[in-house]
Amino acid sequence: MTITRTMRRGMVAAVAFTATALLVTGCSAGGSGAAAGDGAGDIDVWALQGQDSENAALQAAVDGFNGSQSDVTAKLRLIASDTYTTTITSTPKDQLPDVLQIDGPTLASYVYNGKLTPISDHVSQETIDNATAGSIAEGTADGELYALAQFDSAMGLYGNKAMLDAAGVTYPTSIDTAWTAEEFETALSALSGSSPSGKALDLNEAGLAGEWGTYAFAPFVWSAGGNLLEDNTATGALDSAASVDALTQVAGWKPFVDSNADSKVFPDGRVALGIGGHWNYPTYSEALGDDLLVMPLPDFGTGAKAGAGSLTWGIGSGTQDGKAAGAFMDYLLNDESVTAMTQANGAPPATKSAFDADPLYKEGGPLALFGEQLANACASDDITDTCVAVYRPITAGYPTVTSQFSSALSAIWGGADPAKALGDAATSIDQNFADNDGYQQ
Amino acid sequence: MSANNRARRTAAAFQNYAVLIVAALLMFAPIYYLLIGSLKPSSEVLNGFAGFLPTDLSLDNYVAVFRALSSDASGYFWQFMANSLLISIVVVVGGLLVNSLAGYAFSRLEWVGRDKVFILIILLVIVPFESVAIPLMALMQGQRDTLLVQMLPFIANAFSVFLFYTFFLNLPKSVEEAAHLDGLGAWGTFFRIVVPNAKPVFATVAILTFLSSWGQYLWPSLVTSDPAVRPLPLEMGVFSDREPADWGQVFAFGTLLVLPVLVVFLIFQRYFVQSVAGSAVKG
Repeated sequence: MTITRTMRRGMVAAVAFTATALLVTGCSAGGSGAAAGDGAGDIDVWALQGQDSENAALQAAVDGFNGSQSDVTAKLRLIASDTYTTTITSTPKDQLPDVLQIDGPTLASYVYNGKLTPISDHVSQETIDNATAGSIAEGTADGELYALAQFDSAMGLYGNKAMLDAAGVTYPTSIDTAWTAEEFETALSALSGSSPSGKALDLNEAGLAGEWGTYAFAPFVWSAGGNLLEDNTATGALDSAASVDALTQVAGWKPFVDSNADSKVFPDGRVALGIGGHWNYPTYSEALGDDLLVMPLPDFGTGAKAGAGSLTWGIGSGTQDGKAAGAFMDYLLNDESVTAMTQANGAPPATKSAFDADPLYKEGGPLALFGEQLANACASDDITDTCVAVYRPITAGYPTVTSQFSSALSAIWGGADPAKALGDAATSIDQNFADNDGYQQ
Repeated sequence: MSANNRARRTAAAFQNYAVLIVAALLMFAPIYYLLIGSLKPSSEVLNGFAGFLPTDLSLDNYVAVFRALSSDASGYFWQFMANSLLISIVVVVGGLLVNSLAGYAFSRLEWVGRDKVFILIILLVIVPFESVAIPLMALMQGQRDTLLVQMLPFIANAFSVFLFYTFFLNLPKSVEEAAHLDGLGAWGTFFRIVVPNAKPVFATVAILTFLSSWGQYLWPSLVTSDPAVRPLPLEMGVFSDREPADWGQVFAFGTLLVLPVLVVFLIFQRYFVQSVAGSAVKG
């Protein structure tokens, strides 16, 4: 199981390095150089170069916008995704484009460094009102709306019905009936006993030390009642008993996990369960057909949780024509553009109207459970028992948070003491926040 | 020679060849795997030992690579390739000139403070580029998104100076002294006497400089965003960061990325081997 561009990998780590550059090139809080402009002329648009189908959808949106009016001409620049964040963070504010794609978890870092300008004055209220709660949560920093997304991401537990039935394992059919941690481990034991490989689970082991680790495994910490940060502090949250218990439980799955060296272990039917995202659905459904099950992650005590968040769109603080940039974003977030993009990449739409109409995620659709998770979304500093999809912490210090958490997770998976690994990670995070004055504006 | 001795020598030679053949296969296997993988459907690339078998070969992956980099928005493959070549050639040619002159000045010319300056320059070898990348970026902000910003910082190179220095030290001084007696000045001696006798070290530095310049990744990602000036390695992420990863395209792009390096190595390999076997590298 691998990771998609819609979840993003490596980008946050890139921020960690290049954020240093901002100390040299000058950083300031909040973008203040933006001008409303007259809504006419050329605007630059930067985006990640993704799948051919995504690029085509984006180019079609740009062409559609340019053809829909005569005042503004948008020029698209696609940048390879693994250098995208480095490019943005190392580009001076006045040389950033008018409109740019942003990885959700890096938004606060850009805001902190003054790279983005609030969009409420530029984007229409109709567009803002049509954004999903998740899109708003992900695009808001310090109480201001800086970005809106075309699509979100969703993840959970995939199952092979035939293998589960053969092992006599019953499985959850809704979020409310998610396996408990104990039930999940019992299922793993039964499934590995009946599997030819002796393994039962793919959890993308190779990605644990990267962004996948935080995206897919922080939900277990949240579900257990722990957290990565509370009141901008990791000590007491990340190293709490609940967090330690959660990752101790996860580490206990190791004997049942296939390392998935060829990326085919789940679709080839060598394990019955796989933790993955919406991006796996096309491959899995083609391989397993009606045997493919979509289930929530196990409930570690306070209800099942899941990762969420993806790429979003903002306006560069150096724009001299916020009006034109806003008009382009309005077009980019209309039903036609959003639907074209989500049909291209299979991601859940991040606008209400497109989401409600999406046959994959609406009630009765094959990924309806993912849709339900996103309909019950929250930020990580406002987690409730009913919330399922949780967005990663929105803080300029997120690169440090995710780096420390995923490193600790990887160490724990490798046999390190969970309490010590998480305690060390919490100390490092708090030290980084202290060194940066808590990343206060 | 007795029959026993001959048999022992034959057995020893057989053992040596066996070890060398295995070592050669181990060295060649990744390149072969890259090439074969670039010609196979993605689903057959990461397929254990079957991935080595030349089955279902086509140029589809190469076509896909060129197609993915064929618009104004993404930039064009040949443009990236040309940028990389131009940057590498300028850095190599400039580096050969600047660093060989520096190495000659340190090894042959007498001037005040020479040894102290040489030690300072050699100390630069242990400074990793990552530690100076950020201040360098700040220093060169005015040159963002240019080819020049990707060339200038890499022309002067402490390790290259060291290689030239050690090679020139081992050249017999008598030849240069004879040239002086014949009326050649310092410049004439360097270009007409020293350089022709230093082909191995020039080849070595050319190869090493080309390799490092061709593979530049961090620096161009910090100082460029315009496809018109970006080098080829930055585009690897277009293929490797996709979901699902298309390994056939990754391998095709990798093959195209490696080809120029192989060509340069083949051109200079005779001198390179001489240099490694001689005094320059081992000092």
